[in-house]
Amino acid sequence: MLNKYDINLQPLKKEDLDLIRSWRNSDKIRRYAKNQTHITKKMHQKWFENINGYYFIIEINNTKIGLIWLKKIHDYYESGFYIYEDKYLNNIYSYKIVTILHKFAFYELGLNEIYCEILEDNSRAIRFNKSLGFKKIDKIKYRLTKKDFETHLQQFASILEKY
Amino acid sequence: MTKEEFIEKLSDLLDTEIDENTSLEELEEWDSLAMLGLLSIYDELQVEIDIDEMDDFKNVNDLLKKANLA
Repeated sequence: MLNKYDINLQPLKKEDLDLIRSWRNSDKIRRYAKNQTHITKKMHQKWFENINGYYFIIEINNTKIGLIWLKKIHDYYESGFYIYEDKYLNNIYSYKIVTILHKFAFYELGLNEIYCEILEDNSRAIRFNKSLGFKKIDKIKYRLTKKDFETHLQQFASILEKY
Repeated sequence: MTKEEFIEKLSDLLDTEIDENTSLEELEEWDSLAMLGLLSIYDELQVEIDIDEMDDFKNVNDLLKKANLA
């Protein structure tokens, strides 16, 4: 488990599958997913059995609010997350949550860069990821180096610690 | 910091023109990055704020009131 600020990132377990499938199939999460098809229980089970990387349930005040991950693709990792509970959207919790994951990626896994994909119409996610140091390298692909992560984190680390 | 300076700073942060009557709920730019920037401004002004209070802000005037600049 990863824990900082008032947030726990719990490794995804089999018993969480029904919950995250319901989140993933909701309109508000699905509309920004690269694959927008409805996920059946069988598809989801198969996906879970073949996970390559790290998936965590985001928990705040003992409530499960979303999912965050570092997915291994060939020789690199792609990060992503979603928050299902509206109360935690569009505030600094997003920064706290991804900072925990990025510290895990760069300092515990020893990665030098990670990637993410964001659909072109998801302007808030683009703005958010750029503020974290991600740089666009392709139509929907962005890269965050360890150096850019550290440079950008310096700008808001004290705010995350204080609030 | 004056009221005008606060609004100018917030406007830069949001990258859009605002005034004290601007509704936050209708602003596409009112997102997590804006919240983070706002907390930095309050920090600079030494204004104590609870993160949950931010849910109650409806317009720019509410932000000014919190900063004692209304």
